[in-house]
Amino acid sequence: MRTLKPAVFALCLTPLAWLVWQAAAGGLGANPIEAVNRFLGDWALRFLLITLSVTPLRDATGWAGWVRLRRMLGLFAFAYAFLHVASYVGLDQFFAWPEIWADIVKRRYITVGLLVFTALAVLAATSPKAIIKRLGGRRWKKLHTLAYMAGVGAVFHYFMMIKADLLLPSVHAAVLAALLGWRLAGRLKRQGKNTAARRKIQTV
Amino acid sequence: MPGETMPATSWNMSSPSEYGFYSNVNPTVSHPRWSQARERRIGDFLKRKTLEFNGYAEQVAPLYAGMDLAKNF
Repeated sequence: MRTLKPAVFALCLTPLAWLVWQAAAGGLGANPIEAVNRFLGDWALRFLLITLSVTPLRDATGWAGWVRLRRMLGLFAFAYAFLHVASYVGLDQFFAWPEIWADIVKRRYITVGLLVFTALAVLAATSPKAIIKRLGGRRWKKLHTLAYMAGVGAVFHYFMMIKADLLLPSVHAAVLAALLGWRLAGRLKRQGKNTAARRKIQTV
Repeated sequence: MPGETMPATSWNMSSPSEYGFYSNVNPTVSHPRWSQARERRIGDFLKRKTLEFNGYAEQVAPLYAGMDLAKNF
């Protein structure tokens, strides 16, 4: 863990480093502002999916250590989402607040995006150990199921803004569906076991 | 006979709910999903106001005379 955590931290920074490198080298195409914005949004969603894959990964491998990377991965999802929003406000719209407000109210994919960002901000703000303690593990866990909603919202946000080629949003949606499906299957299995156990008790 | 029926256009074929036959960018009418009031020219950082008929209003606006461009888009 002592070497794994910093290694994963560095790995999480590589998309950002690549972006900065490409921006400096002029490698972002004809519309670099759009490219920056899209890239950051893509990676915010990917980090959200990576974070959501921690639990299935732990269950599949039987190694509990994965969970100790989860907070950091989640915070990276928030960081990329923050940069995504910042690039929309500061680069794409250049702080044209009336236009931004009109977008939020009128364009449903922007409304959804803002809701997802708000959810991620709540999750990030309640991620320190002291706050987990103050909330209590149970309530904290319940609050952090918001991550599922954020994932669903982020995939919708992606689908709604795309013009023609739905392949990439579909791939991300399929990954999300698999990750949430895994949890649902686990829950149903546990429920089945519980009712079976209860029945046993009743018959005894 | 040519001209009897409206020919198909690519944007209209791709998403008919969002692009009509003309597929003009009209700054006063929003695309269903985004504003068309401003544009960023390639190489510019700041957006500028989009001109009606791409700035050729004087030459082409009469062609659309009497049309409701919010409906014929």
